[in-house]
Amino acid sequence: MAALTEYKCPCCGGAIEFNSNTQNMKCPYCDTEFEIEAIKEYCEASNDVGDDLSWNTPDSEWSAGEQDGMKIYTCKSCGGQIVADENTAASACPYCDNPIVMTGQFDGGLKPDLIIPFKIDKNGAKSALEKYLKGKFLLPKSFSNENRIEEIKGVYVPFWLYDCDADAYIRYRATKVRTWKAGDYLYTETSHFLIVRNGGISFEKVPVDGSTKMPDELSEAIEPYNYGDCTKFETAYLAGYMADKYDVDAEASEKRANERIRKSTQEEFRNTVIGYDTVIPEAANIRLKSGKIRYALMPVWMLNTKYKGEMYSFSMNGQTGKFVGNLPTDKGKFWGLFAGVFAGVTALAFAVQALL
Amino acid sequence: MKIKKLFSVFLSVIICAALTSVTAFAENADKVADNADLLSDSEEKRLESDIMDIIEKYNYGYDIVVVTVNSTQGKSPEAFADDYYDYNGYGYDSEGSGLLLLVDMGNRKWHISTKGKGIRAFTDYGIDCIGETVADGLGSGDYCGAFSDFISLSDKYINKYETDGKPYDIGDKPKNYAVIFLISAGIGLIAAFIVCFAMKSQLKTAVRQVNARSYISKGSMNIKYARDIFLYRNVTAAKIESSDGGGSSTHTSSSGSTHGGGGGSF
Repeated sequence: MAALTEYKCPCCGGAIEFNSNTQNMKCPYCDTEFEIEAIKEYCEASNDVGDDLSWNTPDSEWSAGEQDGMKIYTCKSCGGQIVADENTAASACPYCDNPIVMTGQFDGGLKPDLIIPFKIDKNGAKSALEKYLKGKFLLPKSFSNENRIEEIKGVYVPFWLYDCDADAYIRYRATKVRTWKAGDYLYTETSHFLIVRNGGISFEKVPVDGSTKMPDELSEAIEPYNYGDCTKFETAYLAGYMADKYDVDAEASEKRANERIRKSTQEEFRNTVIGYDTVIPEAANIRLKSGKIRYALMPVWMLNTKYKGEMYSFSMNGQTGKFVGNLPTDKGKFWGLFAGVFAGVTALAFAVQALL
Repeated sequence: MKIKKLFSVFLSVIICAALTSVTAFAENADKVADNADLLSDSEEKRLESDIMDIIEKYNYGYDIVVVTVNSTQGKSPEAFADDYYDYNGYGYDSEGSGLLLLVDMGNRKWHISTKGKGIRAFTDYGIDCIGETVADGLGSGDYCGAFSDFISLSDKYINKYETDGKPYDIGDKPKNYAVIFLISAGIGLIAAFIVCFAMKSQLKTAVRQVNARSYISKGSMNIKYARDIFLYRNVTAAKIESSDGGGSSTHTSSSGSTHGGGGGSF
């Protein structure tokens, strides 16, 4: 049976959660604040073994396979049975709404190395959505008013962070073009060069999300995170938020990190070839030396809204506030704008040419 | 006796020639010299009076001459027209300004020779325009009509030069509005695409990253080996097509004076 941790307020016994404003644990009932360390120690000290054992007895047998990918927890506050995905690491009890953390999920080697705590709260995410919808001409007018927020949740998304050293040997063919006039002739001189660049470049903490639940577009578009806020992982940070365990392992995610590292290496080396009119890479030999891989949890606000029966998903960087998401286009406005610009520019261009 | 008679005839011919040439110089000779006999007397008179009206209109600033011949005596139309103008004393003011239209019926060629202010008032493009109209008339046998067109177009171009200070040139070319419209529509289409897709891209922000630039360790890039090796160079030459910038081209005639002009066939 998986273990379940609920952080109880040492003052009033209420379930406490991580507060993104104060960056501390805060009891929503009596407003008392606690240091993460203090709460951790308090919990360890007051953990009476066997306290809830009587509640933890399953009363029916599952047939083989039926339980795959599913876990059952018992809420420590109300005793309600919580059925969750095997990768869920933090959630809220559906009966009493108390924030809970499935501590067992981060046992052993699966424990995250780092975490960036939430900096922006739920209201911040809501107002970010409103702001995001403003000033977008092609967005249907009714979208801002009619779309309903179906779901808004703060999720700690599992990420793999890759350190990597790239060794590159790249050859380019480049040309310089010079033209001059002599008499009735225009001379064009093309000088051809072979360019060789050999060197190294290092990358630090290239993130790849390790959760299949999180669409890659939504997780990559809100990058980058400010790694300066990285702290050592403590389960207490998860209280009050959702959290998932990775379901794509470090090896499988590495491919994506390498893609991006390769591209950046090529771009950086290309930038050292200056003063030419054309530069074409002829051969690129990039060797990647993988370094440290870290497992980290990043704060993401996920918002789902419904508009005209369709779901629109948004994500916001819970640390920097970067907000992304795809929105519908107002077809009428789009073609209206198209026709307007077309007519306007055509008329202007016609007038200028006819008058000159 | 015989020799004496011959001599006196010769002398009188010379005197006559000298006299006519003097009178020719004084009166600037015939404005319409219809050597090929293309016009009736009344037509010739009417054209001549039209020309005189224009000459007076611009205060003897430009001479206007129409010459028709059956042969240019082996000269090119250009040389013949220039010489005819120079040696018959045409042209007003200190520069000998004016223009002459030569029609060579033998080779079915026309040529317009300009001089002095005429060079400046009649650009190559202007002469081409006149020539086009005149050649149409000549080709269809309407000689009088062709010469009338020549005279009225000359009036028009001189008038433009005198009032604007700029001659009728390439820039006055009647515009092809269909082509202008197509070009404008093309520009409009490109602009509309750029604007609309820029606006639409605002609505699609959930896109994957392309690189890992944000994660490059600062100052970690080191180039161990960098060479820019010159391989070879090649040079190509392309003849510059003289861009038609308008204006008047000139040349020097056998008399040593500067003429402009142009010609063609009909």
